Amino acid sequence: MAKAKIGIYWAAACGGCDCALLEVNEQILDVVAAADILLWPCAADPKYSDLRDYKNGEIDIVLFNGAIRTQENVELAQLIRTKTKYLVAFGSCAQSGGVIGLANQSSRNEIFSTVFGDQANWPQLDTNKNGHDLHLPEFLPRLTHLADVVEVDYVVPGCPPPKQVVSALFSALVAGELPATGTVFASSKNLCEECSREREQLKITQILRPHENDPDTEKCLLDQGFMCMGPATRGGCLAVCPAANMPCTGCAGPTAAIRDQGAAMLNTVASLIGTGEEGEDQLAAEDAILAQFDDIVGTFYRFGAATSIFKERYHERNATAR
Amino acid sequence: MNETLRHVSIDPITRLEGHGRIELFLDDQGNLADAFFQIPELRGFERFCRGRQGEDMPQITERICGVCPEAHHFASTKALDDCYDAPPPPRARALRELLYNAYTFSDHLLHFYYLGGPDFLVGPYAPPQERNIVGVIGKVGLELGKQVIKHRSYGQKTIELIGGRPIHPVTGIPGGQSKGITQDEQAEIRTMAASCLEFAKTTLDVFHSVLLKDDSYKRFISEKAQMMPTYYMGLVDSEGSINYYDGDVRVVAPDGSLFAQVPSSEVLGLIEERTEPWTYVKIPYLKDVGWKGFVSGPDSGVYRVGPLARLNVCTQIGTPLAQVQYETFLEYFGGGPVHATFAYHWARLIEMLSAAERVAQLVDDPNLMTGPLRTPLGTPGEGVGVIEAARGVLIHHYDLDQKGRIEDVNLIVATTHNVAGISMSIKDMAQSVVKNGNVDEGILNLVEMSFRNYDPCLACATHALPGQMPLVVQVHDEKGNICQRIER
Repeated sequence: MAKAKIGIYWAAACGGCDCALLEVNEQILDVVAAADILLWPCAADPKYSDLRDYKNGEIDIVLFNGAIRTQENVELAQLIRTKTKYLVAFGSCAQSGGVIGLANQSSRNEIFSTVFGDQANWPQLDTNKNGHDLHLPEFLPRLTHLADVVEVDYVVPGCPPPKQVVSALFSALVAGELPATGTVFASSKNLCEECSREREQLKITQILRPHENDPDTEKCLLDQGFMCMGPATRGGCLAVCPAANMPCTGCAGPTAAIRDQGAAMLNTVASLIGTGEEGEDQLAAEDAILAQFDDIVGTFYRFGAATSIFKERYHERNATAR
Repeated sequence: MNETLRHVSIDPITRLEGHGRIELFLDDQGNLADAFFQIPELRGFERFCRGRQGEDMPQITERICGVCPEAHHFASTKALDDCYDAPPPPRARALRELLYNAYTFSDHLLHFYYLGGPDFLVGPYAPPQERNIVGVIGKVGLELGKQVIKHRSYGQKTIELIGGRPIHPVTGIPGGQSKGITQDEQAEIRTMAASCLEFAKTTLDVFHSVLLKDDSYKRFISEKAQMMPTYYMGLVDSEGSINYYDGDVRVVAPDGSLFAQVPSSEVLGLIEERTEPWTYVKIPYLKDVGWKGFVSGPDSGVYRVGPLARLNVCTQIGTPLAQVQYETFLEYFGGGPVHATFAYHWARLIEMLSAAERVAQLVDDPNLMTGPLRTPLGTPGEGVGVIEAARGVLIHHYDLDQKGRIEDVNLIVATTHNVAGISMSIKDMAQSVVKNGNVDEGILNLVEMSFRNYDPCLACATHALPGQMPLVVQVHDEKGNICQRIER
């Protein structure tokens, strides 16, 4: 059997997804025995010129991590799409924009002002220094995810994808038995299904923050008032964060049944908020509990702000701003 | 020579963390005229961290870098300790430091075998498709290759047992840790630590038998073109030993004399950041020396951080086996400070050994298994957290409002401190190897090797700093060979 040809690429990313590939340990030897790596900037030396030289469809599968933040990210996503038979959105940023999607809460001008200060110091797309033309890719007005710019065949969720999920992908790849396109490599159920904590769906009488209160180690974090994203989050990681006494932050995104992870979680929380008492004054009491939320977006849309139902707001406002 | 022949682009630069490219422009004689180190990425963490709950920062900022998330996680946690005036209790401190040394071990291992090391383990002139971990395993053998994989996994497993996850850990909270470890987990870490210690020794043997026998490596650590006498910055404990997790910030001058030593919370007083009109990179330099441009020497405020810098600032390593290696290192160079940039590789492995020794000590720290994990929190305010990332000093500086939300964030990361040094190293290398239009793939890799010394993390550097780093390089060589078109 001819060796498969695979690529690994990062767009707007942190490198954690590349490291996550190494978490499978010796299985990586099976992968490199079964496949040639035609692109992997983090760990191998092929350049963009090599990528451009490959024939269309020459690569069998590319694991693409990172969000689409710059024009270069768009162009590389498009180039890679033409060169590969299958494209995998690997990790939260490729899947849904990831943590850095929180940047969509600000306009490009606001981001640049914060980072570079005075407008005179802002980056320029084209500059000429000592007679040499230099170009920087445009920082796009809004961050988006891979499926927004090219067709995606598979999704591997997580920030980064956990070892057992990566391992399942590699096993399929080495065996040459990829599942139907559209497959999401993770559990189809939510995180609570694999969490060892006991959930009673108790009323949430106050919002607790993990540094202020030491959680009970056996009971459901949400029952205790910690904003654990488990009910709105896809499983597959074996609920490692709740096991470490910290709430799930939702990095794997929602299950297939959920359109908007943050909205689903807010819905869940809203139905649980209350003192359990009866009476007209309870509405005010519930409002008081809800008022304890200090950062709704950062809590409920930590990894999905760029692909949430409110994603267009700044896009529209700043479409013409530069 | 036409325009396309005059422009050589290394895009992307590879075997590092993050996006970067090097643009080389040749003159009519085919000699290097200018070189530019461009970083075409930005994500804007300083902006979108505003408004977040302070306690979420260790998990948000670690997404700056997935290669060194532990560094950001604990720099952030330490900044929050300071914001809440809540130093962690001894048990939490022992857990953090144990995890942190396992991280230092694992990260240094990654660089030597996967990122920077292949240039020498496989060879600088080997075909590009072999200069990677697969080529390394082909060269050193499957047995050692499996040892590499196994011991990286041991480091990662230790991180996972304490941090909850191997990448992007979650257990650091202001004033403590969210969980401890069980006695079984302690025993597992102890067993892995003993094996890692042996492997660190083996790796130094590999260094001595391969790199120190390699002609090009020996040349690079001895030739003047690759020497850069700068200031150095690193953390030291009260004995002057290296400490990756905590300590005073010490700065030494190019001649090795003590320039400054301050508590880490005062580090920002030593540094000023500079913006050049022709670049978009903020370049830190020593305030009291001043900015004199991209030059080395005692009159220039350029300083460097990372493994070589730490070995240059410390009085001693602090662990016995690494101390012996450190003395061998100093003897080789005829004493410190060592200015040979390629000695970063050697220093990194001595640190890998010291980290392995520290893990083996800390796993039996009497505080590790008993006592409180949290300390009561004070009122939120301003705080600074400083830690030694694998790549050097990492500073997180936060302002929290009364509800503990982030009002302002300033991050100065390891690779940012090194931006001036990296730029100068690329320039020095390009000057010495790009000549007479002779620019083949191997030569371009030599240019890349000059930045790989620093194990740069451009995603870290560009949480704030995209843009371009023009390097004004003038090569005067009269022979006018036409160079071939090469783009990598």
